[in-house]
Amino acid sequence: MIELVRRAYALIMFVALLLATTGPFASPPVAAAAIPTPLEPAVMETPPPLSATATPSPSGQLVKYSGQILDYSGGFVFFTTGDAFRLDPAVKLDDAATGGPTKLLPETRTYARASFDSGSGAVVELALSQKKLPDEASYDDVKRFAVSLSTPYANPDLAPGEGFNGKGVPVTFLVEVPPKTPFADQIYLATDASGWSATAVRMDRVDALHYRVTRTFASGTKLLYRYTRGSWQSADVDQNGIATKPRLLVVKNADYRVVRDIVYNWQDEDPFAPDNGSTLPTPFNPVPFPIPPHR
Amino acid sequence: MKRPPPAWIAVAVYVLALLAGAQVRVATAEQQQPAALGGAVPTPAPFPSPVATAQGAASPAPRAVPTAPTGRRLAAFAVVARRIAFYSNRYVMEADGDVAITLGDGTRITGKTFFYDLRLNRFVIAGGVRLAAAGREIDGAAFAEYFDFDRAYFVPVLSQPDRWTFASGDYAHPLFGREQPGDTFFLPDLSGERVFLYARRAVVDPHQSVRFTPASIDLGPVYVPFPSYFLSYSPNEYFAQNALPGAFVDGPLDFAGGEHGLATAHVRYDSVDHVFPALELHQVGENHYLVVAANTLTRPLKTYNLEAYDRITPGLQFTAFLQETAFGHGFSQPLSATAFASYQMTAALPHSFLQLGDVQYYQSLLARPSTMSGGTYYYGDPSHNFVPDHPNTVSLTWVGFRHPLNGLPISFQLRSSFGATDDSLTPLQTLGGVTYTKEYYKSVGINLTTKTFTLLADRSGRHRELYFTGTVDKQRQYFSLPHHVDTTIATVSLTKVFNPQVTLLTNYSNVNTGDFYGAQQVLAYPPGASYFDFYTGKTLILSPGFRGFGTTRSFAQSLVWTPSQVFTSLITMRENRDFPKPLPGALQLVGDGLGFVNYGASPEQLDLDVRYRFTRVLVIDVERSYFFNFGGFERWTPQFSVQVEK
Repeated sequence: MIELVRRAYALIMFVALLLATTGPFASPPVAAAAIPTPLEPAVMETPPPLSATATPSPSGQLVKYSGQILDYSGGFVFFTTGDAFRLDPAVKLDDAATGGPTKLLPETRTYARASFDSGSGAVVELALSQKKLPDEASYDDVKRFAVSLSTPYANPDLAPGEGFNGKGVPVTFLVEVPPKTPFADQIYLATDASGWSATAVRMDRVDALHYRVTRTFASGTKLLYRYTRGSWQSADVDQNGIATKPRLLVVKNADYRVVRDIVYNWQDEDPFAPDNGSTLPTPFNPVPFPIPPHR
Repeated sequence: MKRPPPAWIAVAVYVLALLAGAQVRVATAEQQQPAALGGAVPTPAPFPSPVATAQGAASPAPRAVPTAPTGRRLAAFAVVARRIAFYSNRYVMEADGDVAITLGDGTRITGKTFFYDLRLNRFVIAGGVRLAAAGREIDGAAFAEYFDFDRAYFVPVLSQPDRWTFASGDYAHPLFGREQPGDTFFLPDLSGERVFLYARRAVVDPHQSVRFTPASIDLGPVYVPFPSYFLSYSPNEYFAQNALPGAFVDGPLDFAGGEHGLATAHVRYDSVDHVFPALELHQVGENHYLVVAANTLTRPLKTYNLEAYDRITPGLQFTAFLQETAFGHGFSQPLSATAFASYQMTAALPHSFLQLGDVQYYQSLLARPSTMSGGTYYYGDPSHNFVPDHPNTVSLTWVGFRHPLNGLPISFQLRSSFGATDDSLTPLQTLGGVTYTKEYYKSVGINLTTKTFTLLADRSGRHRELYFTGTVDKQRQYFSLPHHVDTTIATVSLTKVFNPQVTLLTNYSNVNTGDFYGAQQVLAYPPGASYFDFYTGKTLILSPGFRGFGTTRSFAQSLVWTPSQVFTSLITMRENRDFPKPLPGALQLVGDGLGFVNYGASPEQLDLDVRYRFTRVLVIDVERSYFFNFGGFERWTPQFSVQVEK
């Protein structure tokens, strides 16, 4: 009995497999050179509604995908994903907003909503626009239609776990300044991303010795930065009296990051002259020229 | 080791397989790595496109072009187009119409549209692309170059489109079908962004500079044509060093430069000289810079500055600042000329550092004139009298690192110095009928600082704490005259954070300064003595009760309001109590702007500082102070700046 059930199960599975590969549930045969092997099983969960103007092949449904055109030539439309999609010989060009005729040309930078015939994999309609169009199908739904001579293979440069995902990471810079920092002075971040402007990012005071600012950077960002009091004459100096080299921040994949730094001295700080300003006009000033007259 | 088959066998098998309809996975150079390591793989033909060979009749065969010379592929490249636009707010360059790119190695790419992100150092060219490299031309839809990763990505169109990757500039060996980054051919959306300049040609030195020619630059209402515009965006921070004195408005225009140099013309405005031109030149290296500036070139009083820095070793640096001011009409013989020079050598030591400094002032750089009136010599005009003074100060300073006091929440820092001052022409001081042209001094000092105490903690985690910090600084300076000056500064600060946008700070400081002459105290500070202010040229009458001992107590309250990342404001109210009574000073250039150099602080002072960032390159910063109850000198300070950042 058990053997009979086992054979019946095998027969059912064989028939199912046969139907899946040759029957009406299978993808239609296409030229081997034109359509590459699909990267994922070609299964549409919920076919979108049919377009009013475009007509798919009897075996296909319409799949609509919006993107920006990279090029349009040689019977293909290329999107900024880098994918090439075959154009149906009777492809229709129309206006994305009205559905009627359009004066726009399918050229580089134009936005388009492409209607794919899921049966042939060809684009049967291109609705053009100068503005970005809302997504209707995901890229995963249409990438199986992309035409490529070579079989795609993994790029070791893009191996997961070794790179950056590019997501925004809030980074808080918390800096401790030297006790002789003038009370009313502002502290700034000067970065290579802001042309090394000495007043690029103003920091918020936390207390008498600490300042803080939070900025969001994409993971993978490399940022060189220094602290200033608003000019390069008042930039940070290392503990050993030598001008600080720019600090390097590499933003790694994270939800949040805190960077703690210490500024030991300022470049314009006279280490042996306490900040008594000009409160006392002594007849003999032991440091006759603390400030250049025209600086 | 097994010898790999010759390339022609592999190509023949490949072609036969394609003719047979098989789907062949192209073996890339990377996949053949074991063989390649053996060094026995012959170089295949450039662009070994199997499909082009298999279906030669259906697709155009690659056309031979003269072999491009091998050069610095990742170095400067040129872009020519019908229109090039540069968006300074995004640091993106866009080119449209007959775009032609020539890379450093002679590789040439043409297309319809081009985008280059200066910071990411990568470009994409799209639309009817033709790549000419490695002795061949091939058409495609788009080409992207990632200079920093030395990778180029191409969408060629042969009989069918494909995806190729070129590694390390090896155009002869594409990596067929290799997965490309998802945003390789991303075209940035620049709608709403304002174009800073238009050009027809650009030469890009990656991570360094771009030269646009000819350039039409956005000057507000109109685009003004210039022969060229040089944009420097080097990661070298020394390019940002500034040797020009302050001005209310400063408009820089970089017009020449390179990896190590930059020339900038400035149009500036301030309330004294109004609109005037200035010039600034940078010469920078990895560890040094030299900045030269000429200011107020069309005004009689011209200023020439030079700043120099050299990190000789990781623990030794040299800095210099030289300034010459000359009063003269045009560039003829000046009527007066003065100079200031400051040199400093810093050497790192274990747990401390040494600084050797020299400060010199040349009251007149001119030879003694022949014209004489009323006992003074002058050139042209008696108001420019000849003063041959040349005071000079040399000092050697030792500064220790900050150390914690064992077991206490206090840290300390020690310092000391030796020095000498002399002026052989005009005595530094006369005391008891004795003139002193040379003075030696030495000083010691200590700074004590508490750690930041949290007086009231915010357990809600919203950072609304109340903080306390205190510092005491004590210094004694001995002179050879003899006398000594004691300075003691005590400061306490309270900070209350109300929310991330609003912070209130209070600060109380007490500064005591005493100039101790012992038995000669009254001789040194006689009642009603006057003091000639070297900078302002005015004689100040000292307070009758002043005997060389002064105190300033200051209480300041600051409210910081930062409602957004683009807007910050700071309001500070200060109350100052000075002895002796403060003396209002004159308006003059100080630091980066004009200011009043007062002797002592005004009894009450209000500081306002509002800063708004309109765009990534335009910042308006209004910073002004008002002096209350200042002996008839109640007034606003003139600080106001419009800042244009690159």
